[in-house]
Amino acid sequence: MENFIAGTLMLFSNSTSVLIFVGGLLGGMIFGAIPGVSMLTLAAILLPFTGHLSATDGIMLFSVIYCAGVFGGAITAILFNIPGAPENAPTAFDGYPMTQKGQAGKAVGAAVLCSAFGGTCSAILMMSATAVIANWAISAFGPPEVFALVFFGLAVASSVGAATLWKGWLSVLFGLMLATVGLDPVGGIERYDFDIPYLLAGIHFIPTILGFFAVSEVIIQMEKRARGTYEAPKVSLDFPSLVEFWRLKVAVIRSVVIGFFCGILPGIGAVLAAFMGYNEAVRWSRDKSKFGKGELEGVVSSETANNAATGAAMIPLLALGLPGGALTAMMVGVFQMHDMEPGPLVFINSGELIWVVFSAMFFANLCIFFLGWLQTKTVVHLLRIPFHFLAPAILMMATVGAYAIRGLTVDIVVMFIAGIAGFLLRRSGYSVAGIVLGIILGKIGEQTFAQAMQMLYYDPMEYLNRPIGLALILGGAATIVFNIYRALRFPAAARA
Amino acid sequence: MGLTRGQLFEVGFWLTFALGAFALTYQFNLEIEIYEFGAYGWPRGVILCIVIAVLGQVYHDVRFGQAHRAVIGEDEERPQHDASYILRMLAALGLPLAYALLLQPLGFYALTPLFILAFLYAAGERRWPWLLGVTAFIYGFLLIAFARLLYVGLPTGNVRPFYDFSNWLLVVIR
Amino acid sequence: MVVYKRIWAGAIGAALALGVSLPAAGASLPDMMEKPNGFPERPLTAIIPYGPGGGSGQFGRALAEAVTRITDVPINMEYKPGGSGSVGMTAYMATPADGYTVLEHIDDASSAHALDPSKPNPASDLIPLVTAQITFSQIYIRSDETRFTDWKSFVAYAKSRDGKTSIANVSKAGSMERMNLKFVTDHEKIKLQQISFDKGGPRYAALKGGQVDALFEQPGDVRGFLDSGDFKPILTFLNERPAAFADVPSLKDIGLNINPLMRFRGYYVHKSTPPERVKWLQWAFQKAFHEPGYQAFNKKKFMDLIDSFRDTKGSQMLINDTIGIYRKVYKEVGLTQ
Repeated sequence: MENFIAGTLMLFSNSTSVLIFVGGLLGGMIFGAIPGVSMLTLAAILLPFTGHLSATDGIMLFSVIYCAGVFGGAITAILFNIPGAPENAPTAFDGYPMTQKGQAGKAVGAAVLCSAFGGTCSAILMMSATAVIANWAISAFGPPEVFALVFFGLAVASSVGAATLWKGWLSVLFGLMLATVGLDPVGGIERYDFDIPYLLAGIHFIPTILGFFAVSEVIIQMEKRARGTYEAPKVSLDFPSLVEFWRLKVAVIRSVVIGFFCGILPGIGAVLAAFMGYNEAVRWSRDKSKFGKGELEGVVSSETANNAATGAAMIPLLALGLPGGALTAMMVGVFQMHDMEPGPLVFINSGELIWVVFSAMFFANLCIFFLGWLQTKTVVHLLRIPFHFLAPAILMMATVGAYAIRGLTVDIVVMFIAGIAGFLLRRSGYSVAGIVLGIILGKIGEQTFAQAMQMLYYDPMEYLNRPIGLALILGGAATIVFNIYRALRFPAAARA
Repeated sequence: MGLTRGQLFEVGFWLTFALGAFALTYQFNLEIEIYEFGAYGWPRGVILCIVIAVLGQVYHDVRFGQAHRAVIGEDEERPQHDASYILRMLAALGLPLAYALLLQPLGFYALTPLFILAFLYAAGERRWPWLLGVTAFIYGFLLIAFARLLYVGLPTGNVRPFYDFSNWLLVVIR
Repeated sequence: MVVYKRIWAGAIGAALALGVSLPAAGASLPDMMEKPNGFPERPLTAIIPYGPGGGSGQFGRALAEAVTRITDVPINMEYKPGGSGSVGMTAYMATPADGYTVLEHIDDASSAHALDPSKPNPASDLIPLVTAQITFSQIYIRSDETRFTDWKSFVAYAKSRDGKTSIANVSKAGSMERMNLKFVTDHEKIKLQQISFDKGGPRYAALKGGQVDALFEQPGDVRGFLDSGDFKPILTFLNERPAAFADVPSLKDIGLNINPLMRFRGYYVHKSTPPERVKWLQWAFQKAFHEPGYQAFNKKKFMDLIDSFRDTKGSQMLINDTIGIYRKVYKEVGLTQ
């Protein structure tokens, strides 16, 4: 507690820090809420500049952008079906149908409350647990465990959002294949580059998520206009009532728990959290058919889970130097700009940095609660702009967003190709969110698989000596077998 | 119950994809001295899983039929495609792709206003004040937000005079 | 192993000997140089073929900032990571040769050309403006390791484990890191299981967390772990022990008579850039090496332990010699015909 107070005092006693805190908060909320760009765009743009800030301010800025951006990304997911980051993808499953039904205000309002609540819970848990977890995790979680985790995550989350279990798998597997483009992670051997040198950089998930969601959504709306079936969504500002929230308390608490535990896991945290949070909400529900059609609980469970993962995702980052998602991966870059490696050393050598970051995240979540209501009232009016004016703006923002990550025009080409592919895939029952999950986990999965094999000397029985890895592998395998059994027996179960 | 044409097409697509991807693994089936499975082991494993999942989908389609398809896609009936529809869809799909491919040689700064204008026109906007006004607004916003305030290095193009135009513009707005 | 000895002794020896006589040339550069016909009249762009956070990103920025401090010419950094530096190289080769865009690159460009001659040769397809970082590699273990404590006991341990000793290394076959390690393991007749990590952070975490037994790296990259006492070097990939690591055996000490492959980083410009512009850029980038802020940066990165400076001619010799060695080694190990 005294650490928290010290961190808070440090944060608010320095005018530069306060400025950066406010800037990061507003920047994350604004970039998160503009379709086509996201907190990741802002982070990529700002990364080189953080060299001029102190290490503490740089990390604090990114952690605030993280909290604000995960919330902001929900807004575009709900209003335009364009999730700002992969962890917002499940939010769109029910959020966008709500917008189409004229309940945008309700969905965004729920996202505000849940984001703030999930994020705050997570920040508190993070503060009380990081040091303990840090010491334990560094020796307990090696590449074999991380691979087992990726396997488990894929097994559990692969069917979310697709028409059938099989199509969910095909989506994820397609993503895994896309992730193999470029240099292989062991020998640096060129794969599937088709003699295009730029493809050696591999397929990055940012252009693909922009393509699959933002560009394909624009094409879908354009098609509706061309057909004459386009209908402008109705703008509404009615927030959900307290009674409605109280009914969802179980879903919220379940998602906080899922979000936090998934978030802790290095490599895949927040994305998996959102998928699993949504998946569990469907699984525990008495009426599964209402999901995907504009069910408030869908928005609540996914948005609570991904924000609950924000604080938790900082634990493997700070404790192990293992990023839990795209934005935390960029934070590693911020550390390195200051000649620091995130990891246990940071705890020992820069304790105050950690506590400034913790308190910044805590207050960022509180601010989201208040600023979020304000933002909701303004942002839903974006829906009043005729879509054919908004469309080129979205495409241009997406172009900047895709290019800013790596400075490669090939990423823009990939984005537009993904847009066209997404346009075709989405109407055939495949999950574009699943493809993105596959791209993200594919790289980590293949690399940690190779490392695990090398470390275990190609003997899978060595997993018997690694109980955590073994448990995750068995859990994943059991999930797959169970899912297949259900899919073969019952048609309704095949639909995830 | 057999497969519909759409389902057959999907199965065909996945099997062709798997076969093609598998054939291509022979381009990189080199030994890696420190790793037994080489660069090809993982992709081949994924390809095998794809084949299994396709078989599962075929089983599902044959056994449970049509009842559970099209949950996410549009479920309206196929509309007739007139010439204007096809033209507009070609524009919606082709314009962005052309834009992306031309970005490296011609640059973001010269190409973007043309693209926005063309896209708005393709989207059905015919009022010139709106066409020019919206183009100017979006382009101006991009320049101020990204080129001036955030200093993002967007593609300047490699071909003259587009390269020179980009650099001239950057000097002016910065 | 005899084969390597023959190749190495001749080839790199010349390159390293050369370096010793050169730095004086850099120090004698004029303090100011007139801009040729006003060049540069707008900011330069530096293409960095790696991410902003890693060793190359940090180096690229540090030297560019030093250039700006000397000349008042701003330099915009464009990071284009991917394909072990080949993507940034391809992007650079497509830019106009007007001197406004420069390229940062490392020894990977030389080994890439040796492996595949269709890739640009940095000594002849580009003009090296300066080489401003040259460093060596080391093998590290945890300081609290009890199974072995120095190189000798590490070798004995590795022999007793028959291939079941692991070392974290980079993920590119034929790279400087993998080749250097191969020379040593062949010489000592030990088998190590290399675990490939493409990113530094997880690679260091693996050693720190006890997932691997040893780590191959350059000292500047793990300085934090060395200063905190977590890691300690047990072998230096140099023939003479540098003063900062006086108690760590060198290659000569373990009886390996080769000259090791080095990591070097520098700046380049298109070959067809107008010569007066090249001259100005050479002046600016070589002068920047001696700028106090940059010197402090290099010192922090352990880049002052051996001479890190080469001018254009010196860089060309360094690159050509390096390419020559890689070619021979690649042929020996069957990576090329």
